[in-house]
Amino acid sequence: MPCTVSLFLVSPKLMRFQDHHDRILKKTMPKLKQHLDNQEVFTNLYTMKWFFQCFLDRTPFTLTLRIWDIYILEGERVLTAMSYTVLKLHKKHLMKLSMEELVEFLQVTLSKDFFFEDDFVIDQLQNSMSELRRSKLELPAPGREDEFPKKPLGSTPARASSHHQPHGEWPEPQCQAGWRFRKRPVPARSILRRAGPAATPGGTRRRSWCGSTKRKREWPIHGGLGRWSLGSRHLRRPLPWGPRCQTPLFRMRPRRPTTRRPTTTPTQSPAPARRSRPAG
Amino acid sequence: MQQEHLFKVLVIGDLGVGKTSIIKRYVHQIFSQHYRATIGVDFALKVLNWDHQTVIRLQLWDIAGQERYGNMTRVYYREAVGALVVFDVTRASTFEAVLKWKDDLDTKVTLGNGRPVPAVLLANKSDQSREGLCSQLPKLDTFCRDNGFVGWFQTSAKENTNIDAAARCLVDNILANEESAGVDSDPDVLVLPGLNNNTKERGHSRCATCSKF
Repeated sequence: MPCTVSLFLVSPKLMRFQDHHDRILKKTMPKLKQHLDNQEVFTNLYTMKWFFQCFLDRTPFTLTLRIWDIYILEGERVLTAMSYTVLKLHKKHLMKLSMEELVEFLQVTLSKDFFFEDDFVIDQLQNSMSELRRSKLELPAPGREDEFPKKPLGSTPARASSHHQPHGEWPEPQCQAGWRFRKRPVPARSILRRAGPAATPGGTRRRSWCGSTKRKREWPIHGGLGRWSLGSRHLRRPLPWGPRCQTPLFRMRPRRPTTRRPTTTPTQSPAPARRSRPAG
Repeated sequence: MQQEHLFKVLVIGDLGVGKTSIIKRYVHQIFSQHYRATIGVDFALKVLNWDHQTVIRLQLWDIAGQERYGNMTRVYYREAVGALVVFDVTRASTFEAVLKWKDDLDTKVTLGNGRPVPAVLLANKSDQSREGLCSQLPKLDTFCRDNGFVGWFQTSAKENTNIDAAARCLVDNILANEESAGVDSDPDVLVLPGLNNNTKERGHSRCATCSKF
């Protein structure tokens, strides 16, 4: 496979997932892999957008939304599982295509028409996930140290300063706080805080958001819950913060450095500051 | 006998100059007014029936113009044999950044013989040129000569002007490089990857598959 060495130097996580995708193909669909390799349609080309954007622009939008839902619930395992599902569902057709046709089909055609109902695809995705889990191919090996950012997040590369305005608008220093802030299980807690004990008499609503502790322990096992194939029911289930939440494959933009506002004081300080800037 | 080539070509330039639009126009013959930032990198394939015995496949790598992807894009430069450097005639800052992109290109990738990869300069959005840098355009000939571009074209993805011509110019140069590379190399000498004396080459040895790109 070309360029694996160089990819390792810069995008280790992307490469780790692409390698894993290769491993899955080799084991489950060796003939298709051979065909793709013969046609010089290599994994690192066609899976790039799948993994970078979690299938945005590569599947019809309604299906993309379903995949993103599952990404939020299940985490990164959906990336390789969905890649596997795409190839599995279209295997027969893909085997007949040449290089140009393969690229066209995987990049353009499928983004317009997936040829299967969304519900069916999601069912298949779920099957793929259990299949991969049985084969111990659910996730790539854990990332190594070099995968994690060494510099504070949010800073732009040094060379940005030479010629023109960098586009990362966030100032540097607070960014690390932003990162730490992000890793905390904030949303679940803030939801609770907003609802407040007064709003949840008897704690009933609390249970519906967070689940009992017993259920909580069930998530990481990723049993055949099978809930998310049934429409949007899973949306009512708690968010998967905690053990199954991993580092994002690709951070879209650094989080705005927030000085955490004390919950008790109403918004007083930021608004006037913003208003005064254009005037001065 | 029919010859087939696969060339990896980079499309680089500042944010919003129209790299993706140029590729979309060139490969899919479509144009959209709406701006959508490229995330990381994308690629497209264009097949050219160059002459009756040569088929050329251009693998066009659409590199995100945003700085935040700067460190990542380096990897996508590897094994490229040509580049289109794009700027927007209506925004002078994008022209100033052209040299930055060219330096970036030359430091990160060279041809097998150590020479820089051929690069063509595209002055895009020429349909709106009355607003911008059009008075500067005649100077581009000397600019190209001074900065190692093999040529420049006034292009418009919207009106489909000169994109084919620019690509043809680039492919001409790539083919010329291929031929000279074929002549240069001594058939009796086998250069092993990793044992190369050229320091630029050292450290990123190529396997047989890679060299096709």
